[in-house]
Amino acid sequence: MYMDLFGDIPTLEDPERTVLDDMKEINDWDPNVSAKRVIQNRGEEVDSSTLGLKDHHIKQLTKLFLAKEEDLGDLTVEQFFTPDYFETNMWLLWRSMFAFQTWHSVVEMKRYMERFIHLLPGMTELRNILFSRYNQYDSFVLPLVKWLEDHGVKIENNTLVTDLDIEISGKEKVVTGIHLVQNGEEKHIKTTRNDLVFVINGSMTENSTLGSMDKAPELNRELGPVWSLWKNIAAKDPSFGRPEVFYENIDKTKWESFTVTFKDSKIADIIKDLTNRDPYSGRVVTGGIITIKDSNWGMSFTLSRQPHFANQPDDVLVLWAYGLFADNEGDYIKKKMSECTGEELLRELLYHIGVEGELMEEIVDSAIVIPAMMPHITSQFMPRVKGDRPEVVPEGSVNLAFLGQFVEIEGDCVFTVEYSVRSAMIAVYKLLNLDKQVPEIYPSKYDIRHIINATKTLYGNKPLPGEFFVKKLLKDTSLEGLL
Amino acid sequence: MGSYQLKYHAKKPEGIENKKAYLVGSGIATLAAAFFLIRDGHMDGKNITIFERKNVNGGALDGAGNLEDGYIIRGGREMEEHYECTWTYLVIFQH
Ligand SMILES: Cc1cc2nc3c(=O)[nH]c(=O)nc-3n(C[C@H](O)[C@H](O)[C@H](O)COP(=O)(O)OP(=O)(O)OC[C@H]3O[C@@H](n4cnc5c(N)ncnc54)[C@H](O)[C@@H]3O)c2cc1C
Repeated sequence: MYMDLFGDIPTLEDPERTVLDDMKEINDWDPNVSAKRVIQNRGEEVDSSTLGLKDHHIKQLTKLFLAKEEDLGDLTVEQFFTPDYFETNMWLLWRSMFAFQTWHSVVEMKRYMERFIHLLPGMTELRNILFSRYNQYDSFVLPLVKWLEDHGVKIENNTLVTDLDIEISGKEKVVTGIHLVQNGEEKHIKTTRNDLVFVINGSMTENSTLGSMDKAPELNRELGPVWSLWKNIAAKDPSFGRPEVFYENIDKTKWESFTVTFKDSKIADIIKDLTNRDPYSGRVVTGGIITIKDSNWGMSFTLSRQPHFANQPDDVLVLWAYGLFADNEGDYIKKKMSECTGEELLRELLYHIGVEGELMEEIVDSAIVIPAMMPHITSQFMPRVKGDRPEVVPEGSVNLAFLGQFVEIEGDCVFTVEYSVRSAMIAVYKLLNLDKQVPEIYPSKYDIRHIINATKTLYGNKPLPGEFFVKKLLKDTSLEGLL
Repeated sequence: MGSYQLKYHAKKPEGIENKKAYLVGSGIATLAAAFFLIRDGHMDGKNITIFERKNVNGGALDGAGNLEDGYIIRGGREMEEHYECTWTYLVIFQH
């Protein structure tokens, strides 16, 4: 069915191809480039082709690059930069792309700058960003779960783990039991030092709730089970971390997103006008998020490759949007974002892309909006110091490893799939004492070519200080062309 | 780091047949851990159990819905070429 519509889209769901093959194939065929990165005044493009930095901002960024994490401690982004940094294009692009807030950890910002320094030159246009063919449940979770089940792994659903028994004697820590509630029934499993126990300590989607077209999602402020499990474990030994650093400040870690299903094609023309791209082409449409600069909710939205779901009809479009400031009033809907129904969220978005009157009514009438409130969505960005996050395999642990976004992995960045997968690899290799190394984090921050290109980007592609002399120096040498 | 390290197959750990693994959560972290236990740790999948409190797997990586009820993703993922651990994991077949 898709082949007819999307003539040259590479074969879908070919069993001979791996998830990675599919990922590379679709991104080679359709590399992401932003159609319009920033808009304001209800659809007008904002020039965001450079990062818009002044010399003193570049100085601050360089200082951050060179600083040591332990010296930065729990400083926030806001405490590190001068206030005018937050007026720059760079901050607008940065905060919307990564959901960074001024009160988040500057150490994490430093890690992002270094870890992704090779992406900085493409940042204004979201180049070299990869997107899966469909949503990540269809593209990743389904095949991964199937592979495991084919290999005999049991996944027991409706099973809540509430606590572990941990024997701590001398320097050794051994999990000797697991407490769980399975389909409402309490159970206990005995483990020995010969077994392995892997625990997710923390989740950014914990206690997330959905709303509907006529109902705002309810913000859940209770302590979710992922946190209480970590809390129970942490109480047994200081090397198991300090969960409250991450879960306590819901008003600093929450935001809201919403997904719109458009059944009517009227929205397609509006998107076409906005992006100059055909939403039905099977290629990226907005090309990553479009950020609405003058949205009081701090809203961004994206229309990914369509269909975004394997079972999505050809003429239906699925759009995603989010707002960084759920407690702010809207510009059209004079309510806090968090208090809005799905319908109101959509109206605010439509207003910002220049839709009004009869057309707005028609689009709203044929759309379904599902809002999602996530109280802990940026909890992993909260300011932290050493010891707040446990090591993947804590000192002395014989059979316990922590996994996910709230463990300490030198140099890597949270709010990524990669961080969780890396934690898993470290955990398995270490607990099994395998004679194999975990791949190193791509060392672009030590690569002079990437550093030069990133520096040029910071300077808005204007000549660098001293560039003229360095070029003269390198002329007719083997390093000519480096700059 | 290159092929020499990455392509190396770890030796089978002694006594792996007698170990059991219990994993809490069915997000990508845990799914990956189960995968590495099998591929690199030579563990039999039958000795691995994952506990998930919900009746859906995948954790943060979600995507559900249909035309009647509407579709829902809480988020979408920006990724990049140098997710070095992730790409060594996603070499499994789609079906
Ligand atoms: C809106 C959004 C946007 C994102 N954008 C990006 C992006 O652009 N790029 C990127 O790389 N990453 C992105 N991420 C991050 C990425 O999706 C996550 O880091 C990753 O999926 C986390 O996986 P995890 O396995 O560590 O934890 P989770 O996926 O949170 O899984 C935890 C699982 O454990 C279960 N669980 C918790 N406690 C218990 C218990 N006590 N007993 C039993 N089960 C329990 C939960 O129900 C859940 O299923 C985004 C995430 C979200 C939500």
